[in-house]
Amino acid sequence: MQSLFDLLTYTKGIEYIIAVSFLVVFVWFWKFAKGGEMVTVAVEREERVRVPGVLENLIGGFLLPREYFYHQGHTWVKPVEGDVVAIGLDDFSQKLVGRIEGIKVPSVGTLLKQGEKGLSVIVNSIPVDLLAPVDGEVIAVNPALQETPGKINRDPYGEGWLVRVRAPRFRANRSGLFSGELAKMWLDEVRGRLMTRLSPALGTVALDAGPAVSGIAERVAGEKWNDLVKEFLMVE
Amino acid sequence: MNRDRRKFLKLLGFGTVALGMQPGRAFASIDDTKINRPDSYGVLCDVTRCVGCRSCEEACNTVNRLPAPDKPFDDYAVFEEKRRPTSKAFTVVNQYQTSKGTLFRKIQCNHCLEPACATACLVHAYQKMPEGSVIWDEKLCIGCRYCMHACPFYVPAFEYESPVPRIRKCTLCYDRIHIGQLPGCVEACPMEALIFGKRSDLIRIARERIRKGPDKYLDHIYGELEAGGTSWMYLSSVPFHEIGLNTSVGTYPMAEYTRGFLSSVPLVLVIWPALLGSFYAFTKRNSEIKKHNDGARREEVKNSVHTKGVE
Amino acid sequence: MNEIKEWVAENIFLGLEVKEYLRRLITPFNIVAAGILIIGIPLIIIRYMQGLGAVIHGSNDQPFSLFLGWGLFCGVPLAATGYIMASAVYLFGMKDYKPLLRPAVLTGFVGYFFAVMFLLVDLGRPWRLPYPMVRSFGPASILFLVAWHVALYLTVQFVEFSPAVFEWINTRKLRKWAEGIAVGATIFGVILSTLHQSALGALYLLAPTKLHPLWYSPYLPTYFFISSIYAGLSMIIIESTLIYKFLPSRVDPQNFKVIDRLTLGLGKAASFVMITYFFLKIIGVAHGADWHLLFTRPYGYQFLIEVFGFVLIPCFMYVFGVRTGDVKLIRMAAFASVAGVIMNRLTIAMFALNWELPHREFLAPKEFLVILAIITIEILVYRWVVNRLPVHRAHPKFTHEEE
Repeated sequence: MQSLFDLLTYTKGIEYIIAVSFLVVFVWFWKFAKGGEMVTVAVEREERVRVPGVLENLIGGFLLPREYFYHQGHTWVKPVEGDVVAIGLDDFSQKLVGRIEGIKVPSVGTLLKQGEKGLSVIVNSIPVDLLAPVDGEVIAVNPALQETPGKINRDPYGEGWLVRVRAPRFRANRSGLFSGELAKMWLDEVRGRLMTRLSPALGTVALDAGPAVSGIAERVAGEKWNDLVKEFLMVE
Repeated sequence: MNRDRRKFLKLLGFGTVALGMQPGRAFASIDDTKINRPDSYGVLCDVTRCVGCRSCEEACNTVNRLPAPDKPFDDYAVFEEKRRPTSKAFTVVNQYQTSKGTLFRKIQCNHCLEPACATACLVHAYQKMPEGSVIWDEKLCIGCRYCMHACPFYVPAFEYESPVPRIRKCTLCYDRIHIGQLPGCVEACPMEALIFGKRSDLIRIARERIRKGPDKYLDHIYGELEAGGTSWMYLSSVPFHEIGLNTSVGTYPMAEYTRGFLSSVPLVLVIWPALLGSFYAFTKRNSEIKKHNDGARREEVKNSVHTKGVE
Repeated sequence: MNEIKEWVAENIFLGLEVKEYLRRLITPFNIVAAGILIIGIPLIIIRYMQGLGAVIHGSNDQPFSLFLGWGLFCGVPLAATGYIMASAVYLFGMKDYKPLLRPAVLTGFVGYFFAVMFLLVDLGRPWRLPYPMVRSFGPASILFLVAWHVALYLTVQFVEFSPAVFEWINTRKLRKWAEGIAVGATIFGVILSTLHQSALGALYLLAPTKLHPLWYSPYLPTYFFISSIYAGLSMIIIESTLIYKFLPSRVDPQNFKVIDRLTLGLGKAASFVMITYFFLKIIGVAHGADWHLLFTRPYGYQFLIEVFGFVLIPCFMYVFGVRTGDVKLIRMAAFASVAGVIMNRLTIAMFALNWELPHREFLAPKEFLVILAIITIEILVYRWVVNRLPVHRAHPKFTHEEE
């Protein structure tokens, strides 16, 4: 290589290649930095759920599907057909309480009243009360939950539905529920309130992103987790 | 693969030097310089004639009223180590073992046509005089020593031992040549290894010597183009690096290397305010829109949270 | 008169009686600091009385030694905290980072101020420091640019920090004025920083024969500028870590709740800057066709260690920390990144410069002691200010008047 021309051809060529590879790497890097998705472990054998780090959730956010209606006690409503709606626990509360071991729902025919206690899930062998999001009569209880209550954690908006209710006054009840943008704002506020509970030592707490069992409440408040849950689920 | 690579790398190295030795490249700065100073003086040092008597060192010491050296000028044990100009000795002669035997070379400021030291000085304490000398003004120097950093030939020396330190270096005997005298070293050399004259004349003389003695001299005048051209030039019988001259200095004046950066400064001064001001305006607008929307929504949420809910 | 006495008692002596205050000063840290100063300050005095050579290890061949290498070349990028945080909060609207703004500006101001102090010791004729500003201009010199910008930037940093000072001495009007010009000062500060951070790198552009080819590159100014960004981000993390740990009483309790999230955010930003920087370094090697030099001893290996061990690895420490929410990992990455920047600057200023010259010595105990003394003074000053001024917390009399 005797000339400036040859030198430039060689060096510039390699530089361009490096620059282009940087663009590719950068895209990957960006995705990598955005953080892990919440991977739910396939559950034929075990009832274990991967609960991501507390901070991850708080930063990454909680699932809030669009077509659902949410009560401030963190239960959701979804119209099924006619005046029948399905009711369940939202992603925030599912993560808050942790592994759900069972449910205590009223039998078919019981009347629910919006904003009043009516259902509960069992966490750490303790019943955790939930507020009913609509007025109505229970017409079905999710049978799958007797065997695998973990479905509530894994798929709170789908297979983890709690009960089906005939809600003739759903139209009226709707004004007491959040949806769409409003729901997002509400959840933001909730998240903010939870953040103020975090202590500086959270660094280590957030580390265990492995197959943990305890929910956010337990990791934030330890033994007082039930009080924290009651506060956020607006019970009492 | 290895052999080719090695070959390529060698060519790269020599290529750089070869590039450096090509005369008359179309870089405006270099050509302008050479055109602008046709009458400045210089010195041609013919290394084949130097016998290492150190008379030049002694003369320089006398003319510049420098303090007496640690070892006297007739002590040739100094040649055992390689010396450089210091705050007490503006010029030194070194002995080199070369492919053609023992040779001596005198080191001093080369009085570059585009001096790096002058470019580097942030208080403009250096001046390139029309006669060719590059001189330093004591009244301005703040002692930052950037000129020492900039000089590719390691020439300027600093008085580290003084609380009021000066930069010390050869001045091409500016006071003497200004009134028509010869520099001290040139006058003292018994072998006429040093010739003082107009730079353009010196180059012609040098070329003539090379033409007349093709076996005696290397076909290159060191300093004709190096670092953009220097006033002090060398003729040698051996490759210049063998007598301690840096052959990878290139033909750009050192100032040329900073031109690119300096040119971008006004661009930043103009573009950045516009760019950053736009960011600010953009985010301000966004946050104001968001605030407005948030305000409305917040009200909604607050109302529903407090009034709807537990009956 | 009484008001002033009260103010002094409250704000200078921290509400303690003078005797009590002096007694409280005797802590292990302070004793060690005093020991360092007892040795260091006389050395500084000797330097002024007997010339540079008595303390500084510079030579004719290598005029810049560890002293300037640390004081100017390391000090300035580590003080880049101010412009970064100010841009984030004022120009990019990241109001979440407000709790870190004032500390970052203070770190920057103290950093630059002491860089000038280092200069005052290193310059041959320090009383002539203002010369490039007022007496004689050498605009062809990059050092001229550095001098002007450092002087201007010091002023800008002070203006940016002045609201805290005005709150401290209780002058509402002045404080309002200072806050009003905050955005303009920020923009000006970013311009100045861009230029002088890169100019420090450009200082080496005119020494192509002296600096080892793996570090010499026409991209030097860009390298210095980009590395100053992540150096600043890392320093903000380090500073908040240390203050929140050692001076928590001076920190607004609300801040403790958000600091982890903010640290993660800073770490994320730093990681992006560092991956970019890493690739720029590779391009630099390609540009100079220096691949064969990567495996030479010792410079090739040193370059590889610097770029892989102290740029790429901390970069990934940051990324992993962000992904898993591991704030501790982020903090360690911050220390590693800063170590890498120091290593880079010292290499360029000292080790890789004049790499072909024989007999170079770097061990300079006296220089080291003076550096240590000045750093100690810097830390003491910083601590003094944080203890008294509303830096990490709001002044009780001033509610947040904006937003």
